[in-house]
Amino acid sequence: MWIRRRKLVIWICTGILVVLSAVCLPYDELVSGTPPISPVVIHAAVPAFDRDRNTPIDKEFERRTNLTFDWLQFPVNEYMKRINQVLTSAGQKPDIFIVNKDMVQRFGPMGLLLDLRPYLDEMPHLKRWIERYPQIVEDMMTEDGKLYGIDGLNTYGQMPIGYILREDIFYRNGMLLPTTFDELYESLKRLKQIYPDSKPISSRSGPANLFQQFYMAYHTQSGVYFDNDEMTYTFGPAEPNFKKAVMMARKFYQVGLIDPDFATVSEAQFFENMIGGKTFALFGEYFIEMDGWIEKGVKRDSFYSLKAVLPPMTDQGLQALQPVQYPNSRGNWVIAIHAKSPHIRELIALLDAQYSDEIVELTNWGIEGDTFNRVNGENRYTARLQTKLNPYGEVTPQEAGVDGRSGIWVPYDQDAEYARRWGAVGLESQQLYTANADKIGFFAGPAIPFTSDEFIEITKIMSPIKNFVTLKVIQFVTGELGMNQDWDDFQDELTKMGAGRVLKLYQDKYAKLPDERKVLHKSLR
Amino acid sequence: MKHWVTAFPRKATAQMKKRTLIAIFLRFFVLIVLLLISSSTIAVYSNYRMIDDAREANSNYLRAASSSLDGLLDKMKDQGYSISSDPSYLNLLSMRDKSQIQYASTAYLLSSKLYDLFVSDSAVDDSYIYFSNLNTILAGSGSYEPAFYLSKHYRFKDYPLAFWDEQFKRGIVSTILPATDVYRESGSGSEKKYKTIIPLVLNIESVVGSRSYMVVNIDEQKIYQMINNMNITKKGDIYLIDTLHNRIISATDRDKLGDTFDIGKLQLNATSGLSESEISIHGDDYILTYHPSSWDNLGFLVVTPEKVLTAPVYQFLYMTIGVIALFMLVGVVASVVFSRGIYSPLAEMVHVVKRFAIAPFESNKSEYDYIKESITTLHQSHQESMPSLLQIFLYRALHQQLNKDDIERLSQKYEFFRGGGSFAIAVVRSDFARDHQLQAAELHTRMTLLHKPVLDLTSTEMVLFLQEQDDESIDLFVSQQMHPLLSIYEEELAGEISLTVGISRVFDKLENIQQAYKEAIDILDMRSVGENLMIYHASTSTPGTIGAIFSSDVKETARKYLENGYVDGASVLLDQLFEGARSQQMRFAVFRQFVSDLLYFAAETVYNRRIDEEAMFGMPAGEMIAYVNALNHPHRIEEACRSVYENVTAQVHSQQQSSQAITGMLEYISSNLAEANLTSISERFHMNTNYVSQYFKKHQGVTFTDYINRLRIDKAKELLLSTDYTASDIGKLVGFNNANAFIRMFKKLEGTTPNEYRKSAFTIYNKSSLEGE
Repeated sequence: MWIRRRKLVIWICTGILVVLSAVCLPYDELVSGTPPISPVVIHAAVPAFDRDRNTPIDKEFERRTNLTFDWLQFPVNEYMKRINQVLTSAGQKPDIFIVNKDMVQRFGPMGLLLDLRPYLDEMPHLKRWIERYPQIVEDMMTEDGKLYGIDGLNTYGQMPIGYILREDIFYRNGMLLPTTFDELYESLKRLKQIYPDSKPISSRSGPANLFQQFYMAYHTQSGVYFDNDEMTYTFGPAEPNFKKAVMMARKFYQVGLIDPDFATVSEAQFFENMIGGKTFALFGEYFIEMDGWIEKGVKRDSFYSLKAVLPPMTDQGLQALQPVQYPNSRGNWVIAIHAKSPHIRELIALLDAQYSDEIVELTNWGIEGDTFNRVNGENRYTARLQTKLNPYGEVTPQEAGVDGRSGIWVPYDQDAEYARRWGAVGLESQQLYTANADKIGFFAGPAIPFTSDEFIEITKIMSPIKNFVTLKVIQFVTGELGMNQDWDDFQDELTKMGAGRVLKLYQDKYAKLPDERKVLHKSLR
Repeated sequence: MKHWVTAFPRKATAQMKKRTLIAIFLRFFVLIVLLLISSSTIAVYSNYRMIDDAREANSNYLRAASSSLDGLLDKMKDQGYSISSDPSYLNLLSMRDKSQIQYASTAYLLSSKLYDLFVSDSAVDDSYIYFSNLNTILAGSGSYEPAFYLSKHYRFKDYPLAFWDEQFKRGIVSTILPATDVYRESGSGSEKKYKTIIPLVLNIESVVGSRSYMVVNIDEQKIYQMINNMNITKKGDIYLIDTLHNRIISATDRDKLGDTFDIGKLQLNATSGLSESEISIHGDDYILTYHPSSWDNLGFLVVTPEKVLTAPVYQFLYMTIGVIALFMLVGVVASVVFSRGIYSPLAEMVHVVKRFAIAPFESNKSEYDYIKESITTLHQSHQESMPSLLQIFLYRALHQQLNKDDIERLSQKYEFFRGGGSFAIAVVRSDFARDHQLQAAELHTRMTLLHKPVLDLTSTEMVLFLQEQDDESIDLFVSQQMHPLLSIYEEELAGEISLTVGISRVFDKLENIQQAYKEAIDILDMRSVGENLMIYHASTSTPGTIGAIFSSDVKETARKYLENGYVDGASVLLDQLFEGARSQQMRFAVFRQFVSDLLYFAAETVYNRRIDEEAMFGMPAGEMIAYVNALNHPHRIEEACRSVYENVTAQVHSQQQSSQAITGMLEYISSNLAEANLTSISERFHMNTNYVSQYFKKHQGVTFTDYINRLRIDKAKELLLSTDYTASDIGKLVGFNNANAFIRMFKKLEGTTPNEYRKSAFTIYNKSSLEGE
């Protein structure tokens, strides 16, 4: 009897266990068989760009590269700080990531970043780019010939900023658009009289940037720069033209043509001024913004109109210059690979694949027939894509994944960028400037490879000089300081601060460069 | 399959099963109630402990949180006030117009300082200084027009431009304002929520009627991040309270923001350190832990809903109850299943008992009671069957089928033999007549009621096994129990029966049973017919004599009397014989043998005389002898013998007379064949016609008609051959009234007609005469 009962108890217990375990087992584990062999998982750190990493394009990217990505994303504005923390902390490091050039300088020699030089032969697609733009390698190469990263690339360069005027205000008040600084001065002076509370010239990015425009009008800059005419490195503030530039700014300021808050004005307030009709002339402003401003400005003033004009001429007959954006650089960001990653081979293949036409087209244009069509040999986004020129499209480029952000800093197709984000006015302005880049472009000189010690020394000297120059120039422009004795003191102070030493460093290094690198690359295409 | 069928509870057990199930259920129930009580006790205690711990944790938490929050606020305040002594600030304060030469550079320096001071601190979203003289707002992020800043760029939901104007007019008081959402113009022109900000307002200008004030915008989220990072407790909501205005400045529970707290009602001591209290809001209890800030008007409050603390415990409790209930269910189901196992044996038992028990099972009865009663009954019947066992024992003992080992084994097994050491055998002989069968059975039953083993050896002989403590007890038993019992029968059926008991000598060894039995038999057989007792003791009674007085002459005389039907002679002879037997103290066995011989003669006579035995003795003669032999009492034997002799002699006598009558009758018939018939004979011999017919049949073995027909046909045959009379004439001559009747009868008896008979007879005669010629 007991035995029978014990059997029964055992059966009941077994039954309960079976039911419980069946309930506890996840359904899909029961259903799915063995998982498929997973491709290599790549840990990649990138700025978040406010977009998902699971757009159709991202999936297609994974498929074509035959890799799976584990994305480590930080918001754009704090990305560099965070990636810096990640790379300096002890934890697991991503296999591939974006860093800035300072970090390349710092982490490269520490052995944290992979030297890409030995692998260049394995990267035919990248090689093709390098053949066209040798500076890709030259600018990033350290003195001892190591290549710790690849700049972000654009399909071609452009001139993104320039002089923008409130066209309608000039015309409304019976004035033509000025072509020289004198004309500009005069017309703005008249407008200031007409609109006493206006702030005809304003800038959103601080006094230094505003003044930079005046310096470039006289073909100089605020720090050490490459003199395009003399083909040599030089220190701007020490040049006579620098003083002339400051004096011109002083002239503008003293009649109230420059926003009295120029030294402090916030970006938001600047936009308000710009849209609200208080500012008429912008020096060195981004063309891409023009259409947006016009859109908003028209709401307040139906005549509101902006126009980009070629840089005005100075009294010396020089035409003001504007900085050039090279095809090989979108600024400070660099792709680098973790030297101790277990998947070096896959990463090299990935890096090379990113420079293939196929991938560039994928990330910038997407999939033919779905997001773009080829018309007369040119790519056009389909109607479902929302762009500046097609505001009623179903999906934004970010949502569709055709914003050029898939992958790890794949080369930016400039045409795609124009088609997506640029309005007609901005695009026209940009084309005007780019077409004249030869005359009005301020080209960056050959990159000088410094050692990290030298780099630190330069930073140590130049940071205070930068702040010092800015403050002093404010004071010169506002009239707080005189242009004679005070200026000489200013020059003396700069010398004392060691500006000469830095300049000499640049010049010495430049002199050591091989002759083939002592050239100015002016090609934007 | 069979297993399941047999294991299935029988109907008989259903009610009992129900009762036991209820008992099981009740036990479960009690157990569960105990479990519930213990679980509840644990839960209540845990709650008490948890609440206690939570208080402790809250206090510690609040101490830490308030000190770090205080530190943060103090730092911001200090930094804010440090601006008040900054030369750039003082310069700007003194400026009335932006056109003043130093404005740009001074503003630039102050802005940089603000940026460094506040924007570098993660808890500060931005901070700004309002300069009324310059109508400008200088913030870490740059300078703004106040109207643009406060209504578009950094619009406090709860503090519009007018609020600030009002504050400014009244004179700015350093304070922390309740948190508010900040909205900001987005790219497309519409507003978007930006952040939640706690504005820390500082009157950094020492002069009353300020022309400037400072606001540090504290990012509330960052504060709670900081609190969370302390990671002490997350069970309560933290409130930053403005005790001066009784309002909440900031709370982790956003819904509470904007509510005003009555600190007095909360029973918090706003001034003296940490305090604790409890409050019930909408029926829910909350634990409040309060800590005042180093700021006069600030305090930190942690509100922990008891529900949050106790919920896991209650959840545990409910889970426990659920699990217990589940198991109770399972247990009940299991017990229902198992109870089949429990009840099967009982059912089996009832089933078995039903087969033996006398009383049938009634379905409203308890199985246990039923079994108990039945077993008791069975036990009693077993007790009663003990004598039966002993009967067997006795039987075997009497037939010498017991050896010493058997006896030893039996005496070990049965209590009976251990009762005492004195044994005796009593042989009881009874001779009930056939019509006293009932009484015979009754006697037997009564004998068994003496609680002594009784063995019926034959229908007339019983053996009793007497066992007592000592010899006297046996005598006592015989005289006081046995004798009265038997006497009753003697009296009730006086003359109808006789009872004789022979009792052996007392012995003490079971092996001697057979010997004792023989002794008891002997005493009965050896007793004297002169003695007239019922009970004969082997020890006391004396045997009779052999008495060979009856010579063969006497026997021959008795036989002659019988054969000749000499009734009186036989009677006198028997008187002499019985008297002689008594007077010489003849042994009973001898006496009986002697009587048997006498009876044998009687039987012989009956056979010889062809007298009907049944009619004579009422039984066959052999049985009669056996019956008389079985009688125990000499008187009864004597009586029976006399009766037999009387009857037989009388019968023989009457037979002799009858035979003389029939001879006369036959002679008359043969000489008067034509006239003789029943009537004429009855008239002639003075007898009834019926009697004549019976008498004829009795003595001749055939009926009168058959007899006379045969005679007539024989006479007719004689006449047919010897005379020339016709057949019809011959028929008339021999007594047939018509010829047809004569011919039919002739044909019936002879198989042929009278003429044919004569014809065939003559043919034979002629032939023989021809041959003779």
